[in-house]
Amino acid sequence: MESLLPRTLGVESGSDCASLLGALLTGVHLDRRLARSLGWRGVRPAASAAPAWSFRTAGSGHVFGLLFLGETVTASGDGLLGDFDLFVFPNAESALLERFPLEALRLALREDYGRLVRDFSAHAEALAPFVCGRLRLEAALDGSGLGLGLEASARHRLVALDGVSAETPDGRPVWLVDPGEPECDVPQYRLSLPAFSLLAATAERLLRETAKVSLAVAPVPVFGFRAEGKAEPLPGECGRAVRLRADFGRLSPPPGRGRRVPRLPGRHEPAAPQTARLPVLHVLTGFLGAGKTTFLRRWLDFLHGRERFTGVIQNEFGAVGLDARLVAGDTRVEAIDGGCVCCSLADSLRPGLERLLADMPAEQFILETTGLANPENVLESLGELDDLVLPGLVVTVLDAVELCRRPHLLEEWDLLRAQAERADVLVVNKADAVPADALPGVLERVAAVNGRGLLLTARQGTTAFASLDAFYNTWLDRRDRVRMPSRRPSLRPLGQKPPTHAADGYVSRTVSWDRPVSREAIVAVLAGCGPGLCRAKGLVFVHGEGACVVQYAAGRLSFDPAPEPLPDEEGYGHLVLIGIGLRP
Amino acid sequence: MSINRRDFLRGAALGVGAGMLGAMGAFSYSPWRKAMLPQVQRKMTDIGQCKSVRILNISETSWFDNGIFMNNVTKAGGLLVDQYTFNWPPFGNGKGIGKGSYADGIAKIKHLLPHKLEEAWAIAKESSVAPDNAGGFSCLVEIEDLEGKKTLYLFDTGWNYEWMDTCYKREGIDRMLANNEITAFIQTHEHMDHFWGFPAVTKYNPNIHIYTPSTFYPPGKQYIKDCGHVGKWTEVKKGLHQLQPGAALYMFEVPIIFKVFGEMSLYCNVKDVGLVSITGCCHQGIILFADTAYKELRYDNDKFYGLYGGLHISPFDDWDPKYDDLVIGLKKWELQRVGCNHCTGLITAQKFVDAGYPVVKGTARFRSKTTNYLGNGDVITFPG
Repeated sequence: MESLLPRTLGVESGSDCASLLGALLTGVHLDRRLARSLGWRGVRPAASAAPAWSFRTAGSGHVFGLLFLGETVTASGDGLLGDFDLFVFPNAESALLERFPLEALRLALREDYGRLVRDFSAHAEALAPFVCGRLRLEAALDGSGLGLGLEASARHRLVALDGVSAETPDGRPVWLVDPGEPECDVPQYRLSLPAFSLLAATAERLLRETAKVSLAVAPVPVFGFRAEGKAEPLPGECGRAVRLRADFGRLSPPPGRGRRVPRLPGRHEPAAPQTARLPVLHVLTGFLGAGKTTFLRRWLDFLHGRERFTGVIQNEFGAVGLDARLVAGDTRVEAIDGGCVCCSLADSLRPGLERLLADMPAEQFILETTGLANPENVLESLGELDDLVLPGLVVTVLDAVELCRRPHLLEEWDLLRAQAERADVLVVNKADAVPADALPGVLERVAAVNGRGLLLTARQGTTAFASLDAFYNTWLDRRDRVRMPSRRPSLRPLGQKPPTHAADGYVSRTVSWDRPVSREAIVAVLAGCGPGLCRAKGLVFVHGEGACVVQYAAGRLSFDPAPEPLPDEEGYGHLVLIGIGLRP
Repeated sequence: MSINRRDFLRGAALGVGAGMLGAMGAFSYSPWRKAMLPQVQRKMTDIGQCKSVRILNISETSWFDNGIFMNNVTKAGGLLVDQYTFNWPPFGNGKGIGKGSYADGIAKIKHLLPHKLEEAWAIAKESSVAPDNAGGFSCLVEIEDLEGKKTLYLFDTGWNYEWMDTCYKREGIDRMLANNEITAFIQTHEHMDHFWGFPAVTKYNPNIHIYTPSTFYPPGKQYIKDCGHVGKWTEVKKGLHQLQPGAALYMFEVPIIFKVFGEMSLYCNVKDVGLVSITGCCHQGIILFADTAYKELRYDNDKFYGLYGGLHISPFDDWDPKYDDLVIGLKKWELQRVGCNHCTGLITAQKFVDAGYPVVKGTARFRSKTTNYLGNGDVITFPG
């Protein structure tokens, strides 16, 4: 047990069992991929009262809660016995709630049900109708054994002998529960089992030991209650209380109490085999200037704040890459420049990825494509890399300003539509730069092109990044063989190839300077390119300002201080221009 | 007449139903549940008051290049790898990434500690991985009591001997240590970037009273001795540990990456102002950090006033993705003064500023990367 809690256990704190459970929950999440494969789908500590945690598990729509009640010394004097209430909070819309106590249903229909559940430990008494079992944690004081136990009713039934009546607003009497019918009938054991088995399986992994599992069933009376509140056992009626235990080390099931079962029941079986520990590769697309790199930097900040280190492959159309420089301070970046991985550089992807994997064997990677890449073509290339990486999400960043300015853009432009159609996640960026009343229309038009993807809005590249993981995990958990939106078969007529930028005639050109340049001169260069200019970006030494990141997209030009000075060999900087029919 | 219970409870008769159903609730509980749970109360331990808190950031730059750091971590095998086996300085053995050990590393330099730090670091550099990427986290906390008497605590001691010794000299910490002006040294947790620079403390004052979590692993405990420390050593058990009126440590028992266990934070109750919290990395997660203060302590105005340090987000992913954001998580505490740096993240710091948090800006000197950080050499005071 030293591996869980590196100190001797004692009776003084009165909460060492809570420390052990906390160490179990936190410890498994140090390896988030392991936690996910075991079935954890998010944990929230809630310490505003006694130690408590709420969590979700794979394959269940409920939120579970564990609340520490207290601990005692075992009868033999050499162990601790901690008690935790196990709460099950079904979704407010779940039909299961009809079988919960009326009070539970009433609480679930409150507007603030979500908030109550998040803070359940502070409202434990009010939320007691959601308690579905008792978790018991037994720990040998010398650290030689650990036991986890679940106690729950197979069916927790309470009969309203006189019924439960109420009055409608117009004064009519109604029966909420007919006399002699159950006020509640909750399959507590079945509901609690996934949470208990997940905890026990987690202990198996962290203690590196297979649990000794035992199951005991005992008869318990079924109660009915009268209108005046008096409860009485119902003659001839019998319920069952189930005790499930998982023991480790020197602890074993009490003799004569139940039978051994070969393995933990109710375990989550992953839909896809998780044995192949290949890293995941997400693809980030979006048209020139939509804000991909800004989005990427913020996504990396989110991931790295959770110690989920992520390597990046960046592909730029121009001869001189800028994006890799902007991201270089954040992580290891492999740059593939001077073409597009969706066509001319498809063969460069494998060696680039191999270099990155060798240098930074992280658990996930992000490929940022050029703004001109068609994800369908990129996905085709990725299909040949399945010995190196698992396919991740296709995330497409869209420019709200452009979509607002040109409402029919997605219909008219094959490449842009392909980027939206082939996305698992659609990020409508620059949502703060369009009038609030125009945004719903933009979102509607995007959803019309791709209604299956996750639609998010972003401001300056910031969005609810955790939603990306939740969305991805939901797909991994699915068992119905429905493919992710990006992998759905194309409906294109036979023989017709996916659209590429080559057909549109995009070219790139690089302008270099050997002396500081004024803002006006840069504006003149852009104007000189003609109406075909879509995008310009570069690192330029601007007169009187120093090194600047210069960006032009969707008619907007910006100058921002460069993250680092220009290297000597680059003189006074470059600007890459991308567009159709650029004037010389 | 019968009615669907969901429809009824949704309906206008909710008020009637609520009273009636409330009375029945007690019979609906699980048979094992205690009849009534005691009403949960906030403990609100009184730790007294202080007049002000001043923090000098000696160094927040734990390492200088994230790409190199991530490369090291992933190549060594990831987050569960024992920090002493990375072959990071000063415990390098020349065998490459992930193949080091405390015993090998310390054997090369022990005879030079704590006085010949330059020589020790030069040896460590030869046999370690990415020695020049190491920096460190350390700050000086000055607590003024109600009578105006000021007490100094050194809070963590960084990583790189050369960098930390330079930083200590820059801020005059060497002199303060040697003159016994610093009352105690607080080691928040065992991580390399907070702890391995310890001989830069014992070099100047081997007698200093130190506080560590009680859950240090054997190499960490041995290192304290190997650095020549001979003073008092308080191993703080889980929960609250009062330092002086108005200031208390809190030890969180939490497993942390790189095989470390337990982290302490410092809570100060500033008279007429409120609670000021100081954290090293906050590996316990900001929710637990804030919730614990709320539950455990009494503080003036019942107000979370200030926060300083690295704001590690959470050891968990939230089960509801829309809440999985530090900026959202901190909002409810309505902080008045925030100094963030270190593991907070440059973009998270920018998000704090963009969201209108009262972030005290720094000067981005001595290799700190942004003015959104309370950077190296910068000072924050509470009240402001």
